[in-house]
Amino acid sequence: MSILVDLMANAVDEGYAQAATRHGTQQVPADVPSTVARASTAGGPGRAAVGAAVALALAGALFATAAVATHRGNAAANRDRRQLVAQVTLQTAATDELERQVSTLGTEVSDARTSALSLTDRGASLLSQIKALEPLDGAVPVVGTGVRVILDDAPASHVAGSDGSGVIVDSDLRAAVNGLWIAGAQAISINGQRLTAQTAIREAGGAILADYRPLSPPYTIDAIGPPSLGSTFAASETGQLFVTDHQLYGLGFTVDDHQRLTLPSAANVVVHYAKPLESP
Amino acid sequence: MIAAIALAVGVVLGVILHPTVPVGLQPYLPIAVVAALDAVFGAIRAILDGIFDDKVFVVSFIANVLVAALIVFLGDQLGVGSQLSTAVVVVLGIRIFSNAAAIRRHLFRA
Repeated sequence: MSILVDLMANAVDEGYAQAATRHGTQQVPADVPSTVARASTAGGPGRAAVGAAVALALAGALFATAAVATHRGNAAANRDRRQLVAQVTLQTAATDELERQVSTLGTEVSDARTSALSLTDRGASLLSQIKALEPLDGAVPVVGTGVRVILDDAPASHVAGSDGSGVIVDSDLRAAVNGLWIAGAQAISINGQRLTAQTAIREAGGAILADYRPLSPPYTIDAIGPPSLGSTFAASETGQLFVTDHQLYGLGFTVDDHQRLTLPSAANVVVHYAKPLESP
Repeated sequence: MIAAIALAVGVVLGVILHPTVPVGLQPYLPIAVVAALDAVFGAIRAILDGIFDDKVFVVSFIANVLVAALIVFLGDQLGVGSQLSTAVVVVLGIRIFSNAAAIRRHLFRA
């Protein structure tokens, strides 16, 4: 604290007081202009005064430079930000436009394929195969009867909720999804995101990701399948496990049959290994 | 009077020429500005106290700016540059503030 007190008490450079005693200048309140004149003459024949003027000019130039640099920096930052925002808007619009094109072209391709395949018998059988497979690989939205399974973390007030055992983790979701596939589900989505054969359900930093998209509780798993899907799933090993967890740890677990569920198409269906045949 | 003119000339020169500060020196510009402000306020207070001395002003001005920049440079080399520049700003800020208070007392007698 004494440093701060010292700082406050001796705010003015001690050199001034020392110089004043050297020159015998009295530290009495005096008329300002005469004091300046006296001090200047006391400092020597004008040379020191010129030095002071130069130093002051330097200080002024320093202030001006700093101010100009700051304002120019701000202006440049603002300009850059505006440019970036404009670019983002532009690119977002371009992406939207491209997505529209993809959707239009996809419809055209599908129409062209249908008309081309329906010309021949072999094509017609391929077409029916495609129609049967498309819902399974998530390429098209599907509607049908099914079940809605809702998994949720245990409420914080629950006894077991404090040590983390009442929280749904990625393996729980994987178990539920796999249990539904086994029970005969033909299409599944979690929180409105369609799963494909290639969807990975993983955990990263406490968040559950499906195809790198974060999911948040409650996890609503919609599955389309035969009318018996719900009861088969509930009776399965996985279903029983969740019932136990519900009773022991307070995990949210409900299975409801729905007459009409609509599942969206998967965000992007990519073919990794299949290649088109060389045309003969 | 001469002092005010010199300061104004410096400001005008700085605005007109707006010299580009080398990138390597840019981190020290704010510190140099604060040190220069401190020297100027100290000089004004010394004038009002009647103990102003040109030589002391010149030496204290140049030394303050250089030492402040040097401290920050040293801190940069040792990995405590931002903390030391904060320290310099706090110390010089306190001095500027109390000098400004003394100047106010001189001018307004309050």
